[in-house]
Amino acid sequence: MSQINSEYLNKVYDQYVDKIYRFALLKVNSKTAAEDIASEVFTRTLEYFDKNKDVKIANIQAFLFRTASNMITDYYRQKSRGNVPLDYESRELIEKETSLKDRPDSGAFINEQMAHIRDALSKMENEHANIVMWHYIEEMPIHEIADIIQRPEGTVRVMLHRGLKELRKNLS
Amino acid sequence: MTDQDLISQLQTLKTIHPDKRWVVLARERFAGEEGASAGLWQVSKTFISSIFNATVSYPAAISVAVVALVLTGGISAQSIGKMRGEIGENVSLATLPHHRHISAETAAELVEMKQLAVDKSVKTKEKNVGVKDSEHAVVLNENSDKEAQFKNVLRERIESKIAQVKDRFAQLENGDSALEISLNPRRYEENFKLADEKIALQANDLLKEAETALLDGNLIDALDFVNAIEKLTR
Repeated sequence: MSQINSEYLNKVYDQYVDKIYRFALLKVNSKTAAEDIASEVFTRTLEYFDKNKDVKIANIQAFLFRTASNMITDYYRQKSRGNVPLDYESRELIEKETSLKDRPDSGAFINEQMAHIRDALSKMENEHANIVMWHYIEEMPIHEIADIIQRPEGTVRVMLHRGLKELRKNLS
Repeated sequence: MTDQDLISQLQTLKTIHPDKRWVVLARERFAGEEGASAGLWQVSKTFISSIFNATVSYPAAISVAVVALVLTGGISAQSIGKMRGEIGENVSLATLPHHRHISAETAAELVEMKQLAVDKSVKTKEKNVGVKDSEHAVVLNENSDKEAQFKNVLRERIESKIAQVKDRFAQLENGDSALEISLNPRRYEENFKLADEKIALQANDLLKEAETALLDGNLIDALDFVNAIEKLTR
């Protein structure tokens, strides 16, 4: 890994780690899982740079969020398949660790209102929820969102409008 | 509800931030993985994910692996150090009955302090200090006189480290003279890193966390926080 890439990746990490973590947490509602997903997003970005030394990523934010989206989809896919049976001790260790980190006072959600919004977002159609979060929370412009989901800007605007409508319905 | 109300509600979620300690540890691991060839971490990752089918987080999986090794034979402090270098800074010690993630460095330090407090001798190089020892070291609610001794040693160590960090911040503010720099070039280099605004902010946040943890009596957390500051500026 060249010095330039190394410095660049560190800057990317510093600039986007909060956003990627926040997006993952709002989607999976588990601090542990969000931390793992966020870590893995940057690891995969690093691996991508390693394998494609001559290729430049035009829009790094889009790349990171696209990677995060895919990982969250994988997370839910694996969750729906059920866990590999673990022996009792291992399961107990993991459950204790998860429950300690995800208990309500762990600080993942600061107040009830925020948890309520998070729940409303979780009931939305997946892509609508993503677009609403990216635009209103992460302040991503429409053209960047279009780049992430590979759709025209006009479609993104329509989806954003529908997303807000859906969110309003879920909150009321 | 108007669109503006909705957007205002959404924007409250901007205040969600990751745990500062995790950000630092993940960054260290990320920096450590740059250019790394397949080592113990890569092998462990593949091995562990094949057992647990990647439905378990890696830190949790490593916790299980460490405990399994303890049950079968124990690990020496040297092995912990080796694991730290290859796996990354967040080797987890799932010590029963309390489960926590602390750095391998903090774990080894706890074992050393236990020996100081309890055994009155430090022979970490000659004696194998296993993970089992640090299990006892981190379980602070043991009902014995030795527990109080250990806590005192631990508290003193933490207070000393916090004082050193504050000292470095003060030096930055006052400005080191050329003479001081020439006499302590290594300390100047560490302070130079602290002078980086982002690192200084992170270090300051970690310092506050350490002081709060110390006040609340969460000594292991306090030690882990101050060690994280040291790692940040290494």
